[in-house]
Amino acid sequence: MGSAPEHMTQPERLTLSIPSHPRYLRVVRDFLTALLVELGFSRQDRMGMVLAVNEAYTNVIEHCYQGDVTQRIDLAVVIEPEVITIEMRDYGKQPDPACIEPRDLQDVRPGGLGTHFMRSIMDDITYDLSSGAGTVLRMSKRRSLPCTSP
Amino acid sequence: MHVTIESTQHNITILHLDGDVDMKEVTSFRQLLKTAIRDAGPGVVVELTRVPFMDSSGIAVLIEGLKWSRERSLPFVLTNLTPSVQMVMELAHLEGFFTIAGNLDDALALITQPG
Repeated sequence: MGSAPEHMTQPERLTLSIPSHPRYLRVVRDFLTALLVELGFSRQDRMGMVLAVNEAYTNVIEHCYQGDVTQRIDLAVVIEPEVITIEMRDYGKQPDPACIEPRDLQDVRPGGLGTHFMRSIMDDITYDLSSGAGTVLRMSKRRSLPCTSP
Repeated sequence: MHVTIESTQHNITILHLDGDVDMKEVTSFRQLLKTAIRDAGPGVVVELTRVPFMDSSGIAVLIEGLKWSRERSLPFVLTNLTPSVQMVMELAHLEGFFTIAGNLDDALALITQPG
Protein backbone atom coordinates (compact mmCIF):
# COMPACT_ATOMS: atom_id res chain seq x y z
CA MET A 1 0.00 0.00 0.00
CA GLY A 2 1.40 3.39 -0.95
CA SER A 3 0.94 6.67 0.84
CA ALA A 4 1.24 10.18 -0.56
CA PRO A 5 4.08 12.32 0.78
CA GLU A 6 2.54 14.50 3.49
CA HIS A 7 4.09 17.72 2.20
CA MET A 8 2.80 17.30 -1.33
CA THR A 9 0.78 20.22 -2.61
CA GLN A 10 1.51 19.81 -6.31
CA PRO A 11 2.87 17.06 -8.54
CA GLU A 12 6.55 16.31 -8.16
CA ARG A 13 8.55 15.33 -11.22
CA LEU A 14 11.76 13.31 -11.28
CA THR A 15 13.64 12.93 -14.57
CA LEU A 16 16.39 10.72 -15.90
CA SER A 17 17.98 10.75 -19.35
CA ILE A 18 19.59 7.46 -20.31
CA PRO A 19 21.31 5.94 -23.35
CA SER A 20 19.30 3.27 -25.17
CA HIS A 21 21.67 0.53 -24.03
CA PRO A 22 20.49 -2.68 -22.28
CA ARG A 23 23.28 -2.25 -19.71
CA TYR A 24 21.20 0.55 -18.15
CA LEU A 25 18.09 -1.60 -17.64
CA ARG A 26 19.33 -2.52 -14.17
CA VAL A 27 20.01 1.14 -13.38
CA VAL A 28 16.45 2.06 -14.34
CA ARG A 29 15.03 -0.78 -12.26
CA ASP A 30 17.11 0.17 -9.22
CA PHE A 31 16.16 3.85 -9.55
CA LEU A 32 12.47 3.06 -9.75
CA THR A 33 12.58 0.49 -6.95
CA ALA A 34 14.27 2.98 -4.61
CA LEU A 35 11.71 5.64 -5.47
CA LEU A 36 8.73 3.33 -4.95
CA VAL A 37 10.13 2.19 -1.60
CA GLU A 38 10.44 5.84 -0.58
CA LEU A 39 6.83 6.43 -1.64
CA GLY A 40 5.62 3.45 0.39
CA PHE A 41 4.37 1.20 -2.40
CA SER A 42 3.92 -2.48 -1.56
CA ARG A 43 6.44 -5.07 -2.71
CA GLN A 44 3.88 -6.47 -5.16
CA ASP A 45 3.19 -3.03 -6.68
CA ARG A 46 6.93 -2.30 -6.86
CA MET A 47 7.71 -5.56 -8.64
CA GLY A 48 4.90 -4.94 -11.12
CA MET A 49 5.76 -1.34 -11.96
CA VAL A 50 9.47 -2.12 -12.26
CA LEU A 51 8.63 -4.94 -14.69
CA ALA A 52 6.31 -2.67 -16.72
CA VAL A 53 8.97 0.04 -17.07
CA ASN A 54 11.64 -2.55 -17.89
CA GLU A 55 9.42 -3.89 -20.69
CA ALA A 56 8.75 -0.42 -22.05
CA TYR A 57 12.47 0.42 -22.05
CA THR A 58 13.27 -2.87 -23.80
CA ASN A 59 10.59 -2.21 -26.43
CA VAL A 60 12.04 1.22 -27.16
CA ILE A 61 15.54 -0.19 -27.69
CA GLU A 62 14.31 -3.09 -29.77
CA HIS A 63 11.55 -1.52 -31.87
CA CYS A 64 11.83 2.28 -31.82
CA TYR A 65 15.64 2.40 -32.03
CA GLN A 66 15.89 -1.02 -33.74
CA GLY A 67 18.80 -2.06 -31.55
CA ASP A 68 20.78 1.19 -31.82
CA VAL A 69 22.28 1.52 -28.33
CA THR A 70 23.57 5.08 -28.84
CA GLN A 71 20.22 6.88 -28.75
CA ARG A 72 18.49 8.61 -25.84
CA ILE A 73 15.53 7.72 -23.68
CA ASP A 74 14.04 10.29 -21.32
CA LEU A 75 12.29 8.93 -18.28
CA ALA A 76 10.08 11.05 -16.04
CA VAL A 77 8.16 10.02 -12.96
CA VAL A 78 5.30 12.29 -11.94
CA ILE A 79 4.17 11.82 -8.36
CA GLU A 80 0.71 12.95 -7.34
CA PRO A 81 -1.18 12.18 -4.14
CA GLU A 82 -3.31 9.42 -5.69
CA VAL A 83 -1.42 8.36 -8.78
CA ILE A 84 2.08 7.84 -10.10
CA THR A 85 2.72 8.36 -13.82
CA ILE A 86 5.80 7.19 -15.66
CA GLU A 87 6.60 8.88 -18.95
CA MET A 88 9.08 7.37 -21.37
CA ARG A 89 10.13 9.55 -24.30
CA ASP A 90 12.05 8.27 -27.27
CA TYR A 91 13.07 9.93 -30.52
CA GLY A 92 13.02 6.87 -32.78
CA LYS A 93 10.64 5.12 -35.12
CA GLN A 94 7.01 5.46 -34.12
CA PRO A 95 5.34 2.14 -33.38
CA ASP A 96 2.78 0.50 -35.60
CA PRO A 97 -0.43 0.57 -33.53
CA ALA A 98 -0.90 -3.14 -34.27
CA CYS A 99 2.42 -3.87 -32.58
CA ILE A 100 1.47 -2.25 -29.30
CA GLU A 101 -1.65 -4.32 -28.81
CA PRO A 102 -1.20 -7.34 -26.55
CA ARG A 103 -1.37 -10.68 -28.32
CA ASP A 104 -3.48 -13.75 -27.59
CA LEU A 105 -1.81 -15.61 -24.72
CA GLN A 106 -3.31 -18.93 -25.83
CA ASP A 107 -0.73 -18.85 -28.60
CA VAL A 108 2.29 -19.78 -26.47
CA ARG A 109 5.42 -18.60 -28.24
CA PRO A 110 8.46 -16.45 -27.48
CA GLY A 111 8.00 -12.70 -27.84
CA GLY A 112 5.16 -10.22 -27.60
CA LEU A 113 4.55 -10.60 -23.87
CA GLY A 114 5.96 -7.24 -22.79
CA THR A 115 2.99 -5.17 -23.93
CA HIS A 116 0.64 -7.61 -22.22
CA PHE A 117 2.62 -7.27 -18.96
CA MET A 118 2.50 -3.47 -19.14
CA ARG A 119 -1.27 -3.41 -19.69
CA SER A 120 -1.89 -6.01 -16.98
CA ILE A 121 0.12 -4.14 -14.36
CA MET A 122 -0.62 -0.48 -15.00
CA ASP A 123 -4.05 1.15 -14.70
CA ASP A 124 -3.72 3.35 -17.77
CA ILE A 125 -1.38 3.41 -20.78
CA THR A 126 -1.31 5.93 -23.62
CA TYR A 127 1.02 6.42 -26.57
CA ASP A 128 1.43 10.04 -27.66
CA LEU A 129 2.65 10.20 -31.27
CA SER A 130 1.73 13.85 -31.78
CA SER A 131 5.30 15.19 -31.86
CA GLY A 132 5.86 13.47 -35.20
CA ALA A 133 9.29 12.24 -34.08
CA GLY A 134 9.34 9.51 -31.51
CA THR A 135 6.79 8.58 -28.90
CA VAL A 136 5.82 9.54 -25.39
CA LEU A 137 4.54 6.52 -23.50
CA ARG A 138 2.59 7.37 -20.34
CA MET A 139 1.79 4.66 -17.82
CA SER A 140 -0.15 5.43 -14.66
CA LYS A 141 -0.92 3.49 -11.54
CA ARG A 142 -3.21 4.56 -8.76
CA ARG A 143 -2.19 4.00 -5.19
CA SER A 144 -3.71 0.92 -3.58
CA LEU A 145 -6.42 1.63 -1.04
CA PRO A 146 -5.48 0.83 2.53
CA CYS A 147 -6.85 -2.44 3.86
CA THR A 148 -9.65 -2.01 6.39
CA SER A 149 -10.53 -4.42 9.14
CA PRO A 150 -13.98 -6.03 8.86
CA MET B 1 23.89 -13.15 -14.91
CA HIS B 2 25.99 -16.25 -14.31
CA VAL B 3 24.95 -19.80 -15.18
CA THR B 4 26.47 -22.89 -13.54
CA ILE B 5 25.77 -26.19 -15.29
CA GLU B 6 25.75 -29.35 -13.20
CA SER B 7 25.22 -32.98 -14.13
CA THR B 8 23.73 -35.35 -11.53
CA GLN B 9 24.60 -39.01 -11.00
CA HIS B 10 21.61 -39.81 -13.22
CA ASN B 11 23.11 -37.52 -15.86
CA ILE B 12 20.31 -34.95 -15.48
CA THR B 13 21.45 -31.46 -16.48
CA ILE B 14 20.81 -28.70 -13.94
CA LEU B 15 21.28 -25.05 -14.87
CA HIS B 16 21.68 -22.83 -11.81
CA LEU B 17 20.92 -19.23 -12.81
CA ASP B 18 22.39 -16.41 -10.74
CA GLY B 19 21.35 -12.81 -11.42
CA ASP B 20 18.78 -10.78 -13.33
CA VAL B 21 17.53 -12.21 -16.63
CA ASP B 22 16.76 -9.35 -18.98
CA MET B 23 17.46 -8.17 -22.52
CA LYS B 24 21.15 -7.70 -21.71
CA GLU B 25 21.56 -11.33 -20.68
CA VAL B 26 19.24 -13.33 -22.90
CA THR B 27 21.51 -13.82 -25.91
CA SER B 28 24.13 -15.70 -23.89
CA PHE B 29 21.49 -17.48 -21.77
CA ARG B 30 19.68 -18.64 -24.91
CA GLN B 31 22.87 -20.10 -26.37
CA LEU B 32 23.83 -21.81 -23.10
CA LEU B 33 20.37 -23.33 -22.70
CA LYS B 34 20.26 -24.52 -26.29
CA THR B 35 23.65 -26.23 -25.94
CA ALA B 36 22.75 -27.72 -22.54
CA ILE B 37 19.53 -29.22 -23.92
CA ARG B 38 21.33 -30.56 -26.99
CA ASP B 39 23.86 -32.34 -24.76
CA ALA B 40 21.51 -33.32 -21.93
CA GLY B 41 20.84 -36.85 -20.68
CA PRO B 42 17.39 -37.84 -19.44
CA GLY B 43 16.17 -34.36 -18.50
CA VAL B 44 16.86 -30.69 -17.82
CA VAL B 45 16.20 -28.65 -14.69
CA VAL B 46 16.44 -24.85 -14.57
CA GLU B 47 17.00 -23.72 -10.99
CA LEU B 48 15.98 -20.11 -10.30
CA THR B 49 16.69 -19.48 -6.60
CA ARG B 50 19.09 -16.65 -7.36
CA VAL B 51 17.07 -14.84 -10.02
CA PRO B 52 15.76 -11.65 -8.40
CA PHE B 53 14.32 -10.36 -11.68
CA MET B 54 13.16 -11.87 -14.97
CA ASP B 55 11.39 -10.07 -17.82
CA SER B 56 9.52 -11.21 -20.93
CA SER B 57 12.76 -11.82 -22.82
CA GLY B 58 13.81 -14.35 -20.15
CA ILE B 59 10.41 -16.03 -20.30
CA ALA B 60 10.75 -16.21 -24.09
CA VAL B 61 14.01 -18.16 -23.72
CA LEU B 62 12.38 -20.57 -21.26
CA ILE B 63 9.54 -21.14 -23.76
CA GLU B 64 12.16 -21.90 -26.40
CA GLY B 65 13.92 -24.23 -23.96
CA LEU B 66 10.73 -26.18 -23.40
CA LYS B 67 10.20 -26.52 -27.14
CA TRP B 68 13.81 -27.67 -27.72
CA SER B 69 13.38 -30.24 -24.92
CA ARG B 70 10.13 -31.51 -26.41
CA GLU B 71 11.87 -32.00 -29.75
CA ARG B 72 14.18 -34.42 -27.90
CA SER B 73 11.33 -35.81 -25.75
CA LEU B 74 13.17 -34.63 -22.62
CA PRO B 75 11.46 -33.47 -19.43
CA PHE B 76 12.13 -29.75 -18.80
CA VAL B 77 11.48 -28.67 -15.21
CA LEU B 78 11.70 -25.26 -13.55
CA THR B 79 12.30 -25.05 -9.82
CA ASN B 80 12.70 -22.61 -6.93
CA LEU B 81 10.88 -19.73 -8.60
CA THR B 82 11.42 -16.40 -6.87
CA PRO B 83 8.45 -14.02 -6.40
CA SER B 84 9.55 -12.02 -9.45
CA VAL B 85 9.70 -15.09 -11.70
CA GLN B 86 6.43 -16.36 -10.26
CA MET B 87 4.82 -13.01 -11.10
CA VAL B 88 5.87 -13.06 -14.76
CA MET B 89 4.73 -16.68 -15.08
CA GLU B 90 1.31 -15.73 -13.72
CA LEU B 91 1.05 -12.60 -15.88
CA ALA B 92 1.86 -14.67 -18.97
CA HIS B 93 -0.58 -17.42 -17.87
CA LEU B 94 2.23 -19.95 -18.20
CA GLU B 95 2.01 -21.78 -14.86
CA GLY B 96 0.25 -24.70 -16.54
CA PHE B 97 2.49 -24.67 -19.60
CA PHE B 98 5.71 -25.41 -17.70
CA THR B 99 6.42 -28.21 -15.26
CA ILE B 100 7.28 -26.37 -12.03
CA ALA B 101 8.69 -28.06 -8.93
CA GLY B 102 8.85 -26.50 -5.46
CA ASN B 103 12.43 -27.56 -4.84
CA LEU B 104 15.36 -29.23 -6.56
CA ASP B 105 14.73 -32.69 -5.07
CA ASP B 106 11.17 -32.65 -6.36
CA ALA B 107 12.38 -31.47 -9.76
CA LEU B 108 14.83 -34.37 -10.02
CA ALA B 109 12.19 -36.82 -8.82
CA LEU B 110 9.84 -35.67 -11.57
CA ILE B 111 12.49 -36.77 -14.08
CA THR B 112 13.75 -39.96 -12.42
CA GLN B 113 10.33 -41.13 -11.23
CA PRO B 114 7.87 -39.84 -13.84
CA GLY B 115 4.16 -40.41 -13.23
